[in-house]
Amino acid sequence: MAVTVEIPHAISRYSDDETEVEVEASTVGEALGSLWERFPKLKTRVLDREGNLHAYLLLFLNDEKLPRAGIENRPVQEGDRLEIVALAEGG
Amino acid sequence: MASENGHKTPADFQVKRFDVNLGTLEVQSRTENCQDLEDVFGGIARGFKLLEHCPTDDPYDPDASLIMNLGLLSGTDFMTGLRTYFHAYSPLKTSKSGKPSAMWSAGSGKFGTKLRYLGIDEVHFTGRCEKPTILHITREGDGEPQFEFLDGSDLLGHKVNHKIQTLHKRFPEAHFAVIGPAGENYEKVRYAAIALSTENQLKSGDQKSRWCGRGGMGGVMGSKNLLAIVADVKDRVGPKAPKELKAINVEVARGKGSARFRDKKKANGGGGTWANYEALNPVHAMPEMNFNPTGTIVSLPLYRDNVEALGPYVVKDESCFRCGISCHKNVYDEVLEEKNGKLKSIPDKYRAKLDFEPLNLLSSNIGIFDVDQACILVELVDELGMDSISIGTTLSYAMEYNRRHPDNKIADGMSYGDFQTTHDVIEKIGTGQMELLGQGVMRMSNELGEPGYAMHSKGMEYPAYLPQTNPGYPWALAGGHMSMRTYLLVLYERETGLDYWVEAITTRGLAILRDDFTGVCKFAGLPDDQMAEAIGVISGLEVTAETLQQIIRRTFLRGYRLEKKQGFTEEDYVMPAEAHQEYPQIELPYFNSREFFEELKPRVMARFNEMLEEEGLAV
Repeated sequence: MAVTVEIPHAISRYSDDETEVEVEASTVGEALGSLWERFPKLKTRVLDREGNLHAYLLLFLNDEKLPRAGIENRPVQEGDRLEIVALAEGG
Repeated sequence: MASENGHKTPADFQVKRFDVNLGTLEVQSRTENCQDLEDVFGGIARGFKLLEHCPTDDPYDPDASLIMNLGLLSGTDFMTGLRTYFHAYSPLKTSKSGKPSAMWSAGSGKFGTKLRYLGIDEVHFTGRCEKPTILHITREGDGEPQFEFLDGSDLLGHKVNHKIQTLHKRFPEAHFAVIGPAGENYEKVRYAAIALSTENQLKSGDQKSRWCGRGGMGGVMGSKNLLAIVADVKDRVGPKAPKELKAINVEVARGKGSARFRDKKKANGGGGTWANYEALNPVHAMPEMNFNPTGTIVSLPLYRDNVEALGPYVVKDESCFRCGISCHKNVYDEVLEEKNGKLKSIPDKYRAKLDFEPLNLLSSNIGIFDVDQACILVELVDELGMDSISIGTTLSYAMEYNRRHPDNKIADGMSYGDFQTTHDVIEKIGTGQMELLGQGVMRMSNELGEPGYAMHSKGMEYPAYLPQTNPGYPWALAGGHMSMRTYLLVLYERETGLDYWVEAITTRGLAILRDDFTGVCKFAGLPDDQMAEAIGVISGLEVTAETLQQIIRRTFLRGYRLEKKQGFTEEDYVMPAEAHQEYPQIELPYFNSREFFEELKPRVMARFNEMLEEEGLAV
């Protein structure tokens, strides 16, 4: 399934400044795995040592906010958008 | 002349400028042809050019200039095009030689839009009014703005919201820039701010001002005996916005750039800056107890979700004029009402707007972990008209000093977590009765002889991002995070090498200055190419992303040049000693040691000096 992963500017340095990447995946885990394959340095900027999403990031599947852990096997559909949002910001 | 494809160049633009001598009450207007893109954009791009011609050794001297201007998109249909800028030599930011530094402060609300409707791009204030004065500006049709100087003595001593609501009754079509008691007591309070009114504030009667907070601009205004500026003109309905602008505004409201400021319930929003609690606290990268994180969960009650769950509060996402981002997280007391057999949570009394910096620096960083107390202190600081960042960081220093000197306490013996004494101290500071703290953390710590834990660089108190993780602070031209974008780099990027940090400070860090001359709020978050497109659509000015980046660079360098001209040397670009220590509880790489910084500094300064030469701006 073709899924678009959106990467926030805060960490896009590790995706060669690409903020939208299309991957082939049938689960969230596969989608992220494809992302790490293409951009290995991105993985540690998104996941902590336990493999969970860092506290300062959010992950949305379409409009649904996903939990920080246990999402590997969550299925995705053709055309889904997986969006990483940077939570910490100044103002 | 416009180029063949109809795009405009700087020669097609003019600045409508007014010189107001507050001593003689004379107003001169002139229309200046723009010489370059900086003139067209306005904001700090032009502000720094102007300040170079009016240096001063005393920011409170009657001859010192206070410049108020707009950015190119201020008051237009660009969503968040609301910014008003005040520029002056700062009472707070000072070199070791004793000279003040040029800086600026920016705010939203609707005041800037009203200035645009008045046909005003820029006002230069000099002189000092003989008595407390309200400047009332009006305009009939497309005529020239008219400046009237009114007696402001009935406003003297009153708090900010009272001033604004009083003026609103008198001038119902107007919006306002006012100072509070702190600005009136400018000699004793160096971080007085300027409040800008909002539509929500005037409709609700609540203290919902926006702020030109940093650098003491309110004190400069107060030193001129100018209590309020009234921009009094009916709203103007312009031509229908082009469809390209509608698409851009949708992107501002719903796109990636503003995602983290939107409410969590809106289009994948991050929850606003209050969400920094959830983001930073788990890695103990959030200030507590004078920038020394406890490494515990003490700040949990202040997370927004917990405030709403534990109650009795309702948090509403509200906004500035015509803004779809709704970044204001306004806290209300909750009442429960029965409707159709169900209990509904209704917002009752307004308590405070909880942005991250005021919340953190007036609660966690001073050992207060109760949201009710936090709201009281945030609102009190606003009502007295002070910069919450500067006062918060100053209070925490005083508390730390008292912790270290239990037998020789200052500031009424104020300690971490002591709400009542802190409240009373804030009242005293804001009314000019506690000069030791009112002069800011740099002067206070120098007077006490203990600067090592005074969290500032160049006299500007740090915002709520740990200096331990940000060696870029010394080169921020204004507020530490809003003028140097290096404060969250180690959180997101985890890089600790010298080459990385030299590049971060001298190149990437400057990008945040863009919206200090475009006239838009930084939360709009449009990338440079989309911003260039928006500028073309609205103004006809042909720019590219690269052009914007060049203006950013030149603008920073002008500001840096002005620092040098006011006597700043490498001795001024330092951080407090204790910011370089290791704090094992902070779960981020430790790299900003004294040794690292001493290697970083000459490289950064050499690079900036090269850049000055490259731009022909060397001193």
